[in-house]
Amino acid sequence: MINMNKLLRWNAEFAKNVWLEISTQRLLAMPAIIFLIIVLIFMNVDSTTAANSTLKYVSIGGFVFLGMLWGIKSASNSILDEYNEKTWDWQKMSIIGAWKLTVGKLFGSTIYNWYSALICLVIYLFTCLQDGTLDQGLPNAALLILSMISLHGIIILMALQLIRKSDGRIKVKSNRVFIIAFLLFGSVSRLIFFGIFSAFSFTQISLKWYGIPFNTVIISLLSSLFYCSWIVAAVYRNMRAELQYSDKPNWWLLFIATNFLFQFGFFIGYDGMSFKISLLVAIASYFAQLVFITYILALTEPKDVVNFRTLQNAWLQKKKDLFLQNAPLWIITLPIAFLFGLLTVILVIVLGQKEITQNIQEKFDFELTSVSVAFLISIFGFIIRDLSALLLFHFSSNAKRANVSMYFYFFLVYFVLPMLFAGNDNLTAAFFPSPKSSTILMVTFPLIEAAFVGWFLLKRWKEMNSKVLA
Amino acid sequence: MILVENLNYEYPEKRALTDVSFEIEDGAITALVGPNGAGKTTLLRCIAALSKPISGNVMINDFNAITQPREVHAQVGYLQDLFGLYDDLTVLQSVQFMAHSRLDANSDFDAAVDLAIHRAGAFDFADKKVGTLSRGMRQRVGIAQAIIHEPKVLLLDEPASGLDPEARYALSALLLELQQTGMTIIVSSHILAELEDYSSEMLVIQDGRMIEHRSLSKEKTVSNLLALEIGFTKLEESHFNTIAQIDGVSDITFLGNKIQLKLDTDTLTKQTLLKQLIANDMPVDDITETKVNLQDEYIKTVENYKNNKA
Repeated sequence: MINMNKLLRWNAEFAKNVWLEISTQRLLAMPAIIFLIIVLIFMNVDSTTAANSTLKYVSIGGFVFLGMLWGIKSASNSILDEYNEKTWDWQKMSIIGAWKLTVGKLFGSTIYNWYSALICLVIYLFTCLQDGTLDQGLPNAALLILSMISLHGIIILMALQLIRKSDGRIKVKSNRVFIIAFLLFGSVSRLIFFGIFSAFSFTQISLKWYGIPFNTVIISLLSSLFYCSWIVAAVYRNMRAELQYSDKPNWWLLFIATNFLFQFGFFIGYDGMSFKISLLVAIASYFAQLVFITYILALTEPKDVVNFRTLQNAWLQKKKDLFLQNAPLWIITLPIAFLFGLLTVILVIVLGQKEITQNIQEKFDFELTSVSVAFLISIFGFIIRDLSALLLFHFSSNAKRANVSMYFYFFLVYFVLPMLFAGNDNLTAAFFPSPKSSTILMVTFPLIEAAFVGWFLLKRWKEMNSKVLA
Repeated sequence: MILVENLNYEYPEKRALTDVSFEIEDGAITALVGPNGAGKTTLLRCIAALSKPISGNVMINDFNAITQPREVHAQVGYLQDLFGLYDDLTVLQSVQFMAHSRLDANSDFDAAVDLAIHRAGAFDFADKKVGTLSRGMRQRVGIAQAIIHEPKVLLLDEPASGLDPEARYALSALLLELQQTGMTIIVSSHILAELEDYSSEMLVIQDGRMIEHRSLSKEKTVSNLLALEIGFTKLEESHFNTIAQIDGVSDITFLGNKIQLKLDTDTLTKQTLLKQLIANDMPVDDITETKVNLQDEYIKTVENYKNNKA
């Protein structure tokens, strides 16, 4: 029997979840059900080898279903239920540290899922032992465990964002978390299973990282470990915020830096590329990623007008620390994206068109010669336009529909309207960065649009402030 | 001591607190009163360092709620209106969890749990699951959780709403008992009758502004007004008129052979009032300090506020 006093002393949040999730009946029920499934397999498959093979896949399926997918519900409920049932305030005022709370939520709320998933994993490893593939089974097991932690970590992050958006005044429904979680699972599952099935066949596909060759499974494991660690770190930082600590975005900056270095390793020496070319491709690719991340963050982070007032005050009063503590991450990411964009332009100019064409365009069909200062201005003009529009929707009287309005806006300006002018690069430059349009139009269109939407935003900002302060 | 200075809190669409300032001495039980939506819960959450104001300051025993929220959390127990309990845990498990969440590692957890459960009167149902309890019982569990770390300040948001008379009486007795241990308590409510039995101060909040902070005790009031009741063997109209003209006397009303009045202690003491009564040869039978009626005082305060606003 578990010594609850010891567990409480180690991690009260974890212990509470054990009380809530574990009972003798539940502990007995899961192995019993799994045992029955094994019996069914052996009864319906002719040979032991075939049964062993079936059991291998079923056990991985069991891990995914019982651990990962069912765990999505447990992980999101560990935040949303606390918030909706008004127990979250107790947590925020507790002296449990952010790490203990992270561990307690990540592994405590999903303890029964872990229990079930680990049973499946043991069965999987047993089947590997039977057919002599344990050397492949062990990294697969590690990959599955890391994927499960990452998925649940992302779910907890999403739930924390949701409760922050609702500001304690309305109940948060978990449907949205589930839908996004399943979409997310759908998109990353290919990557996970690529790792697993490449290990099944053990094709020995080799990738170089900083010039060192690695087996695909090892690379999958390394990547999973890297991103899983950062996801757990992100949960920890969010827990700190919930515990009312005021942190500057140092960890976010560290993530951006280490993520670049991690990715850069794959570009060095790739297909005979020189260091300079590798650097250019890595920077250009990271620039695109940072722009994408800025959009994702801007859409998902809370856009509380009160926080923007705090930011404005901090800016006007030159309180740098207060500004950084309250700035949403997309505001922090945007200038870094710009920096990477600028570096891309500089490298394109320094390396020259000929070298780029020979080394990149001809090999990878990757357009970089057209990257210019004007193109960069065009990209940032559109980013400013879009972010201003996003804030404009959020500062409206019907802010609940702001994100939906934004998706409609994206559909309109990036799909429907450009379709009307398809084939005319000079006109499509009015909707998105078009490297083939004339330089003047490439710069003028986005700047005018950004100024136009920005003016409306400023007007609404002033109206809102005057209403509140009246 | 609780010190609130120029506190401003905003929601996206409105300002919830505007320039709220007050000071509450140690050991007081303060009734935080105001209509629904006045800003009571927001104020309590700012004091508990659960919500960050846009400007202003909140100090709890020398700790700043904005810059030192974690230190303030250790000083404060906060019970919100819905109590926030885990329905699937037993009462004992709930309080044990809270003990390990709020006490440091060297504490005697069992003793703390035992004391909190006994103080809150939750011992008889300690083994029951929280989800099966009545509202009065749940409130006791909530209070046991809130006082587990023996906080210096206890904040209760609408604790008696929905309770039966017996549970309200028990709450009143418990709060007075906690006050005896030196706790400073703020109790918010829009039902004034429940606050009258134990509150020593009243803090009125309306439209996010603090419009009154005064004592309800028999001692000197915050606004230096003392409520007195003077009994006469035979009360005549001339007595009433004479007393009404005494400098420092206000809010004078009569009831049978008694006169109720407010005495401004800055200009007049009880002793000098008594001298005046004797000098005017009034048949005084008795002088007693009266506790201020919360309901009357609240309504008067709100009316004054509305008149001034108009």
